[in-house]
Amino acid sequence: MHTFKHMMQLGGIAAGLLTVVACDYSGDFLFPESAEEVDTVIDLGEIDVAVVTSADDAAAAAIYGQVSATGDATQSGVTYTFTGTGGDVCVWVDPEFLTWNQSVASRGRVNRWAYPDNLNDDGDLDVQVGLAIYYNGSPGEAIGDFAIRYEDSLGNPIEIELNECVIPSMQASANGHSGRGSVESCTISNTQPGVSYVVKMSAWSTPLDDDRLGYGLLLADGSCRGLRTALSIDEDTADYECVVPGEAIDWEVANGPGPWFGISEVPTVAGALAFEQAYCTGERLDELCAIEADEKDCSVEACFCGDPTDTPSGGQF
Amino acid sequence: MRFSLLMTSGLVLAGCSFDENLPIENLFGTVVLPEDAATRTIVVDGIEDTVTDVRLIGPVVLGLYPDISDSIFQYTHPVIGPSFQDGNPGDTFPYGGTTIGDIRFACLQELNCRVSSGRYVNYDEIVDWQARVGQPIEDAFGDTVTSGEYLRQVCFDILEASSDDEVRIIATEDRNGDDVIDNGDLDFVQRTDGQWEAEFIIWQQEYFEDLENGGGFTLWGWMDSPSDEVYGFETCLPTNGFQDQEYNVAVDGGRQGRDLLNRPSDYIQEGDWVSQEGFQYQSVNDIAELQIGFQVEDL
Repeated sequence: MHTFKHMMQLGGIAAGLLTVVACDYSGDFLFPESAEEVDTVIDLGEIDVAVVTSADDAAAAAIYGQVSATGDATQSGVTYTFTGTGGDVCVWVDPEFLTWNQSVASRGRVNRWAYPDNLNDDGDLDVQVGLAIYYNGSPGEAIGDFAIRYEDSLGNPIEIELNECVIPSMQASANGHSGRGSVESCTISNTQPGVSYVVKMSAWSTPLDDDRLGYGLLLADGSCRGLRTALSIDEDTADYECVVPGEAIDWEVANGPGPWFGISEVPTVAGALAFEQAYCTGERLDELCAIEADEKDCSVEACFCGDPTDTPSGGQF
Repeated sequence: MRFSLLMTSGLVLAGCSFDENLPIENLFGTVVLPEDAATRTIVVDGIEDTVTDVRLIGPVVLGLYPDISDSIFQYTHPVIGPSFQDGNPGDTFPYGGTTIGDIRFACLQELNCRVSSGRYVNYDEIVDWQARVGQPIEDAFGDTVTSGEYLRQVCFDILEASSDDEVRIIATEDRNGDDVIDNGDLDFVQRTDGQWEAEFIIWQQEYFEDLENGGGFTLWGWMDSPSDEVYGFETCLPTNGFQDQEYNVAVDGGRQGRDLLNRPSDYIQEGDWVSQEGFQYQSVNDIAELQIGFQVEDL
């Protein structure tokens, strides 16, 4: 009985101490770090809608930059505005860098994807576009949204996000996003001439290796389907990576956070352009990755591919 | 110690009678379809046959909406909120809903998107019905399936099930308590006046009402009629849902479509049946009776 009493007392003291320690707990370690010298909320200002009829046009009209995480729960990202043309406008962004799911099936494995990806060099930007009048963020200061309050006929309040960027999801025909490292694009149809639109690219995730997320964006006249047709890009979304190449930015060469205008100005990581080209033209990435593993020591320098010893067996998921 | 136990018991008992005053209740009601909704002239090998059969009643989708309107489409439809995305109609903002009959994968690729739950008493009926509408089913080897027991075994094998309850295609519950599993235990039962009636429950529904003018949300629904070609359902996404790959046989199960409640007009086609009046709740305790009696034509 005496022992039980002592145990209860000890338990009480321990619980008290834990409570006091918990008061000093911020949870900051759970968030990706903010990279030095890269802003977390960036406004690129007004961007002109470019006429793109060839791959060279696209590469010349692309705008590149970097964005970092905030280090806490607040959202980071990039915004810019454009003026409606009266016709369709294609909003296109390609976040760093290339992501693929390793093919591990015991039957029907796709050799092209059989080598693992280096997931640490990938991030993700999610795009929303709407009329500037509905945007409630502070450009360059805080990322916002396009939400308004709507009341149904019974007086029930509903929040509606007036996001005109239609990206299908698995569950609905709109309000989806493309996922890690993948190109995200949408057509804003019949834009109102002379009216200002905001494009918001919120940083959903930043690369784990340096917390700096590079991106390349394109704002093109016409629909995104028309853009792909002009560039002879087919429906395979992997091919979309070819529209804005070179978004993996070499921080040491860059000497600043950007933006850079056109492929000729952006300091791309050595070898990234060739690897991206291989990805989007359907080459065997597993073979390229094997060559990379032979030529580089990926334990000390950055590699585009992952560690093959970290490969799960089929059905392990 | 005894005192603590008594206190705890007292609190537990008091808790049982505690009313949180939440407007959340199970909603009960019935849906009534006219006899015509389950009647069709079937042509097989040039021979016409007018059939009235519960299998011609597809999945019925029921939703609770702020209001309905007859000025949006040629049929009554829930009111639609702001539309601001090109190519996408606005949302109807349903509060909740349910279905009477769900898309079920009946274990053979040929039956993909052709079978609704609550319409078959046994597996033989599935086989016989497909033959009757001129769509005899074949198994993975191209042989015509003539036995319900064979289909049952395929289901147990492919779905790794050990009972009909798990497969959830045929009736397994004696709903009317007559000790026999028969047509009286399906979702829709034909009344003496020829109409088809089904009971429904919308579980744990939060009630919404117009606090200024009175009147609650409106129950509205529609029925997905089987297509004329293969007697399949438009509300089904054929390449989604259950997937199976066994040696050289790949199977897509299909599943219920998305946005059935939010955007019914995406799915409603000629031949489907909709509710023209709806049922407006005046209280969360109302027992609804919803007539789905208007057939959509010439869209």
